Amino acid sequence: MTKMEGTPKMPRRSPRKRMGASPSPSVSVSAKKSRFLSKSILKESRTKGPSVATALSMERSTSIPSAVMAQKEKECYFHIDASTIATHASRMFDNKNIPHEVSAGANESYPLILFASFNFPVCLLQACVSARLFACYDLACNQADNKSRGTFSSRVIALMPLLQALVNAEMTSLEDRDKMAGKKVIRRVHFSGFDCSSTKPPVDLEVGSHDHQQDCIAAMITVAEQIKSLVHQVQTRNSNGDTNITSLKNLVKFLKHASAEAHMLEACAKVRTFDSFVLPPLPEPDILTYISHRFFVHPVHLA
Amino acid sequence: MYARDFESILGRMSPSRDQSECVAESKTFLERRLAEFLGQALRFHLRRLLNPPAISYTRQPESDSDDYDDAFRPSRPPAWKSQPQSRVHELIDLQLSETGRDSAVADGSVSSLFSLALSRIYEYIGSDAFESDSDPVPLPASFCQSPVSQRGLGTHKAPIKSMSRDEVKELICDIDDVYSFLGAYNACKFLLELIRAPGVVKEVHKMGGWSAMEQHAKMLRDLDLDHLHVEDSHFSLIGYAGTMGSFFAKVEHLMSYMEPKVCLAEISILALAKRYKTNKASSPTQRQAIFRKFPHVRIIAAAISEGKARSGPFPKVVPQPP
Repeated sequence: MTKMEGTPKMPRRSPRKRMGASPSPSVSVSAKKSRFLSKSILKESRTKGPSVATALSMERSTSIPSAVMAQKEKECYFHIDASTIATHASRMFDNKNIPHEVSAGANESYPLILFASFNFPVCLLQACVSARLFACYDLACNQADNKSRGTFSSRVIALMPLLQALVNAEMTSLEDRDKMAGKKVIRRVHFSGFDCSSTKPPVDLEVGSHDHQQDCIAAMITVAEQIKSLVHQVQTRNSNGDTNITSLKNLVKFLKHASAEAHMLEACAKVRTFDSFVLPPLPEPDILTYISHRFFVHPVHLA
Repeated sequence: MYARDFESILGRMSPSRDQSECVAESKTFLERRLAEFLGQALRFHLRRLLNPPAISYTRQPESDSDDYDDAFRPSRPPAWKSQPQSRVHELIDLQLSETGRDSAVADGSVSSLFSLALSRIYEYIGSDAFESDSDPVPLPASFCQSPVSQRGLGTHKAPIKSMSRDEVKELICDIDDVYSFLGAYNACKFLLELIRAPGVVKEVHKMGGWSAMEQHAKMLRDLDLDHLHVEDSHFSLIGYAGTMGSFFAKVEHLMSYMEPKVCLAEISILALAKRYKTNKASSPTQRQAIFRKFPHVRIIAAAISEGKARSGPFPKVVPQPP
C-alpha cells in the first residue's frame, strides 16, 4: 500500500527514470511480466464495462493464463515445503521420530487449506504474513502429534481467538479502499500490514478519510481484549490457564526457530511484495472456488 | 516481532510478576501501535471539531491531470467528499495577554491549545483526580519556601557568589512547582472560557459531538494504554472523566479549588525573581553585570523564563458578536 497524501508529483521524465519505476530488487522480471498481464486483464474489464468484468470474474480460473497463475503462485505465498515444517516440528517438540517423508497431497500447497479454515480466505490474496505463519505453526503441531490434516491442533485451538484477531488486524490494515474502488494508486513504497504501517492516516479535509484508521483501531482493540482475556484466565487460575501458557510457549519456540531459518525469512519477505489487487476483486462466494482452482487444493470446512 | 509479543504476553501471565512493573515494557507491539492510533484519532477529531479548514498545499494523489506545475497549487477535494467545516474559530477571538506571538493562536488552531491545556493539567495532577469525586492532589500551603529560595544573593557585604549543584536543583524545583501550578490553572481557565463561549457547544454538536473522542479516550483508559505513548497520555483525562460533560465539570471544580492559591504563587515567584535579581526591572547591562558576578543567576533566569513559557501561552477567549 502506498501513502501518497501530500506528495507532489515529480516532473515528467522518461518512464525508466521516474521515481518508483525502477524495479525493486526483490521483484523478478517474470513477476513484473505477470503483473503486466494481470493489469491488462483489469484494464480490459474496465473498458468493456461491468458485464465483461463479471464474465471475467466468473471465468477467471480459465481465462487467466496458466503461466500467470503459476508465476503468481510462485511469487505470492509461502514456499514452506512439508520437510521444512517437519524439521521445525522435530526441533520444536524434541521429537526425532517425526517422519520427514511427506504423504501424498501434503505438498507445499497444504498450508493454504489452513488459511481457508482461518475464515480468512481473502488473506491468500493479500500480503498477509501472520495467517501464513500461524498456518505453518498448526501444520508443524499436527506433524508433531502425528494427527490427520484438516483438524486444528489442540495447541492452536487455545490461542485461536487471539491468532484470528491478529490476522484480522493485519488484513484490516492491508485493506485499501481506494484500490478496491478501482482508483489509480501509484505504488512507490511498500507498507506492511503486520505492523499496521499500511493503515491510511486521516485527511482533515476529506469526509470518511478516517474510516480506515477507525477499522484498524477496532481490529486492534479486539487483539488487546483477547490478550487481556488470555492473561485474565491465567491470573484467575481458570482451567484453561495452563493450556494457554503451554500453547504460547510452543508458539514462541516455533517462531524463534522460524526466525532463524533463512528459508522462512525469505518466504516472509516475498509475501511483502504480493500485489493482490492486480487481479480484479472477487465476489464473496467465488473466493473458495477460486482458491481451490488456483492452488489445486480443495477447500476443507473444519470443525 | 510476533515471538517478542507472545513472550511479553507470557511475561504478563507469570505469577511472580510484580503488578507495579513498568507497563510499557510488557505491552505488545500491536498494543503500542493501538495507543498511537488512538492518539492520532483523538487529535483528528479535535481538529475536525474545533479548527478552521486546513489549507492543502498539494493536489490529491488520485488526480490524473498531466499538468505537473499544477501540483503545487492549493487544492480542495471535490464538494461531495469535502468534510463539513467547524465554525468555532468564527465564534471566538483568541487574544494573547502578553506581547508575543504563538503560532497556534496565529493559525486559529484551537485544537492545539485544547490539547496543550489537557497536557498541562495532566502534568500537574495526573489522571486519578479525574476518576474520583474527591478533591485533587493536595495543594502546597506556600510556594518557594526552601532556604535557598529565601536566601537570595546575600547582602552587599557578604554576597553569595556560588551555589552547590544541589542548591541549584532545589531552586529549580521550586520554580518548577510554581509554574506547573500556574500552567494547570491557566489551562483550566482557557478550557472553561472556550466551552462557555456562546455557540461553541452547539457548533460542536452540529459537527457530530464529542462521542468519538469519548470512546477513544475510554479505550486508552480501559486497555491501560495511556502510559504507552507519552505524547498522547493527557487524552486519558477524558477517558477517566467518562464524558466530556463530566470532564468540564471536573475542570471547573479543579479551577475553583486552585483559585485561592494563584495570587500567592504569582507573588512568590516574583519575590524569588527579585531576590535573585532576574526580574525585568534590571536593565540588560545590570543583568550582564550580575551574571558575571553570580554565574548561577543565569541558570535561575533561564529556569524562570522557561517556566513562564510553560505556564502559558493560553490566550484569552473573547466571544465574537454574532
